[in-house]
Amino acid sequence: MFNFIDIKVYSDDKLIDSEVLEERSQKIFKEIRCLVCQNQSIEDSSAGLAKQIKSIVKGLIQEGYSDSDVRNYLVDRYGNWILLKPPFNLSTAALWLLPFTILFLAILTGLFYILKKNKIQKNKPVLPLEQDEQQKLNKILDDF
Amino acid sequence: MTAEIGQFCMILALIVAASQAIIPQIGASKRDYSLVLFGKYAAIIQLILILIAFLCLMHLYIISDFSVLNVWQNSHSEKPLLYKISGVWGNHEGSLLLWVLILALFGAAVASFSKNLPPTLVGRVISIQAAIGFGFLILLIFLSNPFARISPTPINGSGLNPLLQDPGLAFHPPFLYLGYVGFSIAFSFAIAALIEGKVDAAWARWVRPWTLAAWCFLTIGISLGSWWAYYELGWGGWWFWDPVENASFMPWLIGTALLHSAIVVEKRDTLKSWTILLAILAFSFSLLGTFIVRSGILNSVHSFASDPGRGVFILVFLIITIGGSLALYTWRAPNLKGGGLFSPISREASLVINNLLLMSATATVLLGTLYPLILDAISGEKVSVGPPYYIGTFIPIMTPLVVVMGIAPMISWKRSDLSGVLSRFWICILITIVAGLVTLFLTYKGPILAVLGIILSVWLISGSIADFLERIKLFKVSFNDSFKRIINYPRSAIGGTIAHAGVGILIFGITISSAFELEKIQSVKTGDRVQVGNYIFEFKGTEISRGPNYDAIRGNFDVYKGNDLIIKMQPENRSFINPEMVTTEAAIYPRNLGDLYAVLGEKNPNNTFSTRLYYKPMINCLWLGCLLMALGGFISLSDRKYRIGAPKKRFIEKNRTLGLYN
Amino acid sequence: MKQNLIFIIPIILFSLLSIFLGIGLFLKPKEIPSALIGKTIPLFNLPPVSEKLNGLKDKDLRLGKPVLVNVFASWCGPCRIEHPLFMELSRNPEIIIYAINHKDNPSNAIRWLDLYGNPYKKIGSDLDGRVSIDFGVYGVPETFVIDGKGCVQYKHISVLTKEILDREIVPRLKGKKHVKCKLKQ
Repeated sequence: MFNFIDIKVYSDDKLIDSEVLEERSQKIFKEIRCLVCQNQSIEDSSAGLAKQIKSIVKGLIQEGYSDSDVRNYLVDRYGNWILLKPPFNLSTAALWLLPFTILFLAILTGLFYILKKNKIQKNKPVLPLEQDEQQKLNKILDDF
Repeated sequence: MTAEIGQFCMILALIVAASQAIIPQIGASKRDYSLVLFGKYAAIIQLILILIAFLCLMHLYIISDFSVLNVWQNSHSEKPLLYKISGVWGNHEGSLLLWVLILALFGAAVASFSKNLPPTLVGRVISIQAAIGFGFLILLIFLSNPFARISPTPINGSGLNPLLQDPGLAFHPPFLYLGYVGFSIAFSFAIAALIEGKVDAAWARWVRPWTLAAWCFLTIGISLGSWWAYYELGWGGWWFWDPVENASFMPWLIGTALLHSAIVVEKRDTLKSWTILLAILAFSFSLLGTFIVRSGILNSVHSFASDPGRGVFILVFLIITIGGSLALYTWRAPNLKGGGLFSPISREASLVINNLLLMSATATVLLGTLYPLILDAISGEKVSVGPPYYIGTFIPIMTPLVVVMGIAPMISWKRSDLSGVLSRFWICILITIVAGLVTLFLTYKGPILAVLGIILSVWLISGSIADFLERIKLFKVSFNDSFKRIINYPRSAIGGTIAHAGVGILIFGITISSAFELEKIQSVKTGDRVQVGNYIFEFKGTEISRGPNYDAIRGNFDVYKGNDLIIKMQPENRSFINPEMVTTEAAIYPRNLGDLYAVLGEKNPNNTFSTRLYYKPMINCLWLGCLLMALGGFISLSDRKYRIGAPKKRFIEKNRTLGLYN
Repeated sequence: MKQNLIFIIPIILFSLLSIFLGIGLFLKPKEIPSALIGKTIPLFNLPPVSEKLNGLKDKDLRLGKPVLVNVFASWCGPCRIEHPLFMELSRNPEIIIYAINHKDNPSNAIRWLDLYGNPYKKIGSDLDGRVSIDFGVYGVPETFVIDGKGCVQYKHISVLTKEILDREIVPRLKGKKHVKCKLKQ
């Protein structure tokens, strides 16, 4: 997994003729962290290093690297830190799974609660409560 | 002298806060109302003292007194007056003083507008408010003194970061803090209610306007920050899921949940302990945000210069405040019994779903924000959690929320039948399906998220309109009657409808602007033409221009549509001198709710200029949506029933017979 | 009672959170460990900054003896702060220090070295910064320890201090705390 390519220089404003190439590199730019500016993607940054990595990404794509090859190339050098979309692995399992677990549990709890409220309601006739509440509300309003 | 007066006032305020925290609390438990009255006066005196301190600092900034460390570090004599003033809160110490000022302002407001509240409750609320203020004053006086002097006096200041020299950012922090700190009132009311052991409809009715006001301010604050990023940072991004942005977004999400659950407490006397928890959490997240911003614990573009001492202090403060209140919650909340019962298809049930989804969304944002830290703490491994993660997890949670949101205002309280509601909604469902199909057809093989976004926004907007029409019974009763209904339509309901429609428009703006944005990045020389969609940008060269404290290279673009010149755009590349920094000033031309957006980058060695040109369709729906949300909130706030004092009973009765207060 | 248990959940979650926040205060989020530790160095061949000096290539880092590689530039202010440390180190004949001159004008680099002294046995001029990227460099100065087989042992980001030098770097130059490279080139 550690294949260094031949050292080539890609000039900063090398033009990419194919639209597909442009589109692919834009997509990758959005997922690569600008290392020197703390919290931006290289897409959004005009820092020197970000520009250089952009030109490297374009160069790699032109050489026939797949999108994930390009990502691996950068991860080999800078670690997972460089990816704004953390890969799914053991240490990020919680990150990716918890939101959906929480969502699932929340919906489950919600349904349980709602059904419980409904069950008590079915067991109790509704009318007296209505009056009771009306009185309570009136009392509150009188308090003002 | 001014600095010393400010310093002195802060210390006096600290003493007042201490007594305000203790005496009314005793008064409330001993039912000695004179002590509560003392608290009310103390709250007002505290506000005056902190206001004086704040004005002193502002004065020091205006006269550029560089013998004060804070002024020297963050100001410069050649800075325009507006930014001298806004520079007061453009740094850690000054913004903390602003925070304390707003806290005192809210405290004094509760004290002044509380004639109709039970005195014990007022006493406790004022006391808790002062306790929070006390903690922040300690931080301010001992760890972040804005009035510290330096000797010898430097000749000139080091200046304010030019990115912050902007009207948008001048008003962003005050609004944000009005929101953050506004939640302290809900927090204090919640703690007071836990101590008193009583939460009822009246309680919810007192809390709701404060929460609503805070929520509106926070909405404006976040939008201002976002808008500022859009036009100032130079690539037209408006939300980056940066930890500090998340720190303001989380209280907003919880605040939104709180607003809705408080309605349930008010109308149906249930969901009490849950609402109390939300009231505690909304402010806790505000405090957490403060901690994140000021401790430098996370990588962020926004952090103030970090200082471990402050970080430790705020963390300890956080543990005492949040930990203490959650402990109290654990102890007292089980005693809060809610009454109202409801069936699975009812307004209550939909609001329960709303709350749980908003909480899940908050949990996700929190997890994403803190995960790099948690992983680093556990294994030392470093990861970045960026926008792709949030987009991937947030959308699945928000989608059902928006679906419920579109239909919920039409579901009646207690019990309702879905078929009845759906039958009134058939036209919305139809419109939504058609809109979805049309988008699918137009963007064949295009981004699937765009289709989803359009479906959701159309659903929400049409749902809000249908809700409004239904309530005024347009075409079902005479026009005269419909008109009367509009007049008597409770403002809280109108506000809600507008805010919901605002969310729909916001989603529409986000979807269209991100899915169909056109972007061209290139180097140009004079005479070059670049095509962006239907527009042609012709680069006419540059000229030098001079601002109050910067020099700029101004680019000239003639923008054509077809053969017609529609606008000349002049983006600038500004070089500031104090401090030395280069910023880009984008040129933005609004067109059909979208924006043409041009950025001039640096000059290349071969005499070309790097430029970025964009067309951002429907981007202005984003700001419009945010504006409508805040506007809806304010309209709702102006509802008679939240006016201080008694709502006119007859008015309520009349509307009840009309079926408007259901 | 079972009902009351759910009211404990918020405070439990908050306690966990505050523990992590507490630990977090003492972490350094801005320091990113090198992804290259325990990996072999990239292949490269960099020209010298002047004809009188030696260039640097990957084979120089595989001569069987641990070496230091310092990434520096004449335009980098902090590099000047750590420079005396390298000067002092270079007096020890046991220690080999190489350098990568990052995105620098060679004539500026020579002037800089004339002014502050040249502690480096070999200097590779990385004009376009590409080799630095292969080394995972994201700022200057950075300092690497590489064992005699071309395996990256350690990386220090930003200005080197005496303390770091004695605690982390000198032991590694003596072959201690050795990390084996898993993959062959």
